[in-house]
Amino acid sequence: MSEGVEVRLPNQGRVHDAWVAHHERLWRALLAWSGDRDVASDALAEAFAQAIRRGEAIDDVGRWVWRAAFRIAGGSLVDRQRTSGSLPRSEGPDERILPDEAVVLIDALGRLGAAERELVVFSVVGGWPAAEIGALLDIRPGTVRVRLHRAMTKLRTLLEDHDD
Amino acid sequence: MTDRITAGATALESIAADVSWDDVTARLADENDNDNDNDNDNDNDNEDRSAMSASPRRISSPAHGGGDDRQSSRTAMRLIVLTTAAALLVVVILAIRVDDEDAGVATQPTTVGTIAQPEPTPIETTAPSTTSTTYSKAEPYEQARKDLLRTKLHEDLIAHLGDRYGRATYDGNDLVVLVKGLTPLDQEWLNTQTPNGVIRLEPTDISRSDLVHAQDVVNAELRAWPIESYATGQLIDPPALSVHVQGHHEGLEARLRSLVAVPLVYAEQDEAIGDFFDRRLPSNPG
Repeated sequence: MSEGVEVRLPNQGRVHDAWVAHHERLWRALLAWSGDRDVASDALAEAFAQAIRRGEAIDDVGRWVWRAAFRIAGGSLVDRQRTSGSLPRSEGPDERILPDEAVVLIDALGRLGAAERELVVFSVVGGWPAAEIGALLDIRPGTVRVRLHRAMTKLRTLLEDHDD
Repeated sequence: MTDRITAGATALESIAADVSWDDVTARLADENDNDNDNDNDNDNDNEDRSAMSASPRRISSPAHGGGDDRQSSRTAMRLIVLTTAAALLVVVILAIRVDDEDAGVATQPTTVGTIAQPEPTPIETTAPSTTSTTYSKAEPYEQARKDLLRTKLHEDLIAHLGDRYGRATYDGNDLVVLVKGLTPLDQEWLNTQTPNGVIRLEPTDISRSDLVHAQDVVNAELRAWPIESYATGQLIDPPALSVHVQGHHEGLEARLRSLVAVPLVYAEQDEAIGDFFDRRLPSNPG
């Protein structure tokens, strides 16, 4: 592609609307989930790019990018773990920029399992209600609430341990 | 401690995203660039291959059909490339069909092509059964009949559980069982089940050990439950019902979940129950 030629696909306007509505919240959720700004940014941009490419095949762009971004981020984390031999979370969030409260939360989230962390992040950071989380993750709402309750209990314990 | 979680989430909200819309559109532009580069690479490859075809081992003059040889070589090469691409496409399609978890989302940033299946494909659920008789869902009479059977099963089971363990109701979607003998902590746990209180527990004077015992009783009674009477004489294998409650025997909470999971097998998993009856009901009930 020659320089200066704008790529604009038919679905782009719709995806842009979803971008405006979701990208900040989704990015923060990805950051909280992965503990890595680069992973969050890359997954976010890639999810929206894939959404544009898929065109009208996607009914609800907002929901789709949430699912897609977390899967992409998950793939990135697995890849990083595989190539580097250590979890990217070992480096922890960027303490120079993030507020202390956020660092503490992200650190505690990092000690949850990936699925539990996803539920908590969807709820606490994403602000999704349980029924929506169930729809996003293809889990029954009742199951979401049970798992979320357990994950929150565990997270509270981790935060208590952090205080000690 | 919830305040710590809330405080963390609030602090996160003060952080701006590191990525912009331009980063998204730039990816599209980069991919087109890559696509073009790939096309150019392919052209170069073809030229290289043409040059290889004129290697000393294949010396021929135009008068002896050397041009045709090169053309044949190119055609053969293209056929190989096309065949390989087709094979890869089949592999990719199969991989997508198998990997339902991915739901068509490339988990790694990709620059080549797109996956055509954008939404998760529902997994066909199967009930725990060993019989293979199938039942057509297209027959309205049978569907209505099954609905009636299911409703009757719900009603009778609810009445039975209610009589024995407390109160139970069915609101058309969820089975609501009021189980006695729980602490306030247990109550709190159950209050998280659904906003409507799919399961409600009331602390009473019944001990936890009684509750655990009650769960065993429920399981035992379900195994003995005369399901066959709802399936027009065809015996439904009782252990098949208990599959849903197996594996939840560690700790009180797990036992609680098991206790409430038993009726939820009927109330929530309508699909599974539908399939269950699909296989059990006679194909021509007359």
